[in-house]
Amino acid sequence: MQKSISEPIHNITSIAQTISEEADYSIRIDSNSNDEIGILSLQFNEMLQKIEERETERDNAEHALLESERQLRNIVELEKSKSSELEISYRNLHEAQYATQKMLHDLKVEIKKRTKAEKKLSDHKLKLEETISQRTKSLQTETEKLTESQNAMLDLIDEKEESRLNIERANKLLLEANKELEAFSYSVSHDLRAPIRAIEGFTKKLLKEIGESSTDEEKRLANIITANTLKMGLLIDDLLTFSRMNRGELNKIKIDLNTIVKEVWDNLLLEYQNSSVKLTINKLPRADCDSRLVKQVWINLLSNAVKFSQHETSPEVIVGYEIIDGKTAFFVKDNGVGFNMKYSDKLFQVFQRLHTDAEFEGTGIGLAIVDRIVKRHGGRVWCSSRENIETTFYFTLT
Amino acid sequence: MDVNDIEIVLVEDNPNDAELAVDALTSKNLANRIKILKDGEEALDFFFGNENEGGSKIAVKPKLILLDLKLPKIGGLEVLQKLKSSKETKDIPVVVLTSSREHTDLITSYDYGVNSYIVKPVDFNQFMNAISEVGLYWMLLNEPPK
Repeated sequence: MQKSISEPIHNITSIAQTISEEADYSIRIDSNSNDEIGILSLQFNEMLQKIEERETERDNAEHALLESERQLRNIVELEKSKSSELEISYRNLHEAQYATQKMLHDLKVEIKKRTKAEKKLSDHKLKLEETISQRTKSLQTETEKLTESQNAMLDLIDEKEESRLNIERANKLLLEANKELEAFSYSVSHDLRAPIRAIEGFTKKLLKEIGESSTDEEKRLANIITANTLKMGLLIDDLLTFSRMNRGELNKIKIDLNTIVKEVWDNLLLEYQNSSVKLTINKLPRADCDSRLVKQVWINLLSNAVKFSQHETSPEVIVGYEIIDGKTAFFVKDNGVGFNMKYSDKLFQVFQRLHTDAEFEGTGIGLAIVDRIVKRHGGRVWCSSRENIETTFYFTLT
Repeated sequence: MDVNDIEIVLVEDNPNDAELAVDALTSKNLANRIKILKDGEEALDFFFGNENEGGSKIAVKPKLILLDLKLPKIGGLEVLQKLKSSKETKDIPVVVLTSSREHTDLITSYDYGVNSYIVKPVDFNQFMNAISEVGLYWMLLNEPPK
């Protein structure tokens, strides 16, 4: 019996210990006895049932509490997050405000800067305008000056045109004068010769008419008339040559002067067949000249040389050239009578003679012709003479 | 004298020169049939007839024309040109006898077809010789086209 009582109680105690340790209220005591232990167990079990029920209730309440707490927390979290969002927006707003302010500030600074720049620009513009105005002014002055000089130039052109017209007029007059001169020399050649021939011819006819009966004095007078007509004829011929040398184009070509001098000399010797005159020709350079005109120069100078040295015992003529002042100066030298140098300026004038016809015949035109020809070539003629010793005529063709 | 018998026509305005020329030709017995005309107009009228008088043309064919160049009214060069460009007269020998030695006169004369150009010598004797020689040459030596 002891054992039958202590064992169930121990059992109950162990269960109670387990429940207490494990808080498991679902455990029940297994007892089928109708004794006190059974009742105790039953009542224990009932208590356990009630505890379990309460536990469940508590659990449920706790659960509900937890749930509501969780919900609350959610709400709070939500609120919190909302507030954070708000905070962020606020911060953003603030930032935006700040940015706006900054922008405004920047804008202000910019505006200030711009205003300053604008002012500077405007100042610059003003300055520029002034510069432009100054420039325009100086440009205007320049333009005025230019216009002035242009006008001056136009005037100059006008003047030039006028002088050109003047030259043209002068040229025309010159051409007319030349034509007149041509007509004049034609008249001279034709009209002056005829009366001379008539004088001579009819003088001879008169002598013939008188026939045998004519006296010596009559013959002498007739001879004087004839000689003078002859002289007149020569004068006319020389004058014509002189005027012809002034006219016409210069036909310049390179020619061999040695040939020309030789030709002229040979022709001259036909006239002076009795002369013992000796000619020395030094080699001459070629010359750029009008051969027809320059031949006339040599004819006149060489015939003068022979003429004025013909009475010498051993007449001598030398032809050559020297370089004088960088130019080729041709010369004709003779050992004839020569002339006093104080009359040398008269030599080259028409009809000027330093000797009488009785001494030396001549028309006084030969050297004037020489002068004209060398001048037309752009050269000059000059002379030096020591009477009865040596006379030299020089000429250049450039 | 019938115009058809005329052998020499001398166109010369200077009567003295004309007389001397006739003297020179007479000395060679060439002056029997000579006609002297005093200017260019007379010369053209003689060969081509006077326009005012109907311009009747006479077929004159002398053996020689001696022509001065400087003539009154119509110049010798113009007469020469007309003579040498006309079919009827171009065969007649024309000798220019002038005092002019001008280059242009020479060139123009030959250009127009002159047969000879003689510059009258200034010297009287040379003048007489020149005329008589010209007369002899053209009247006796020269053979004209038939």
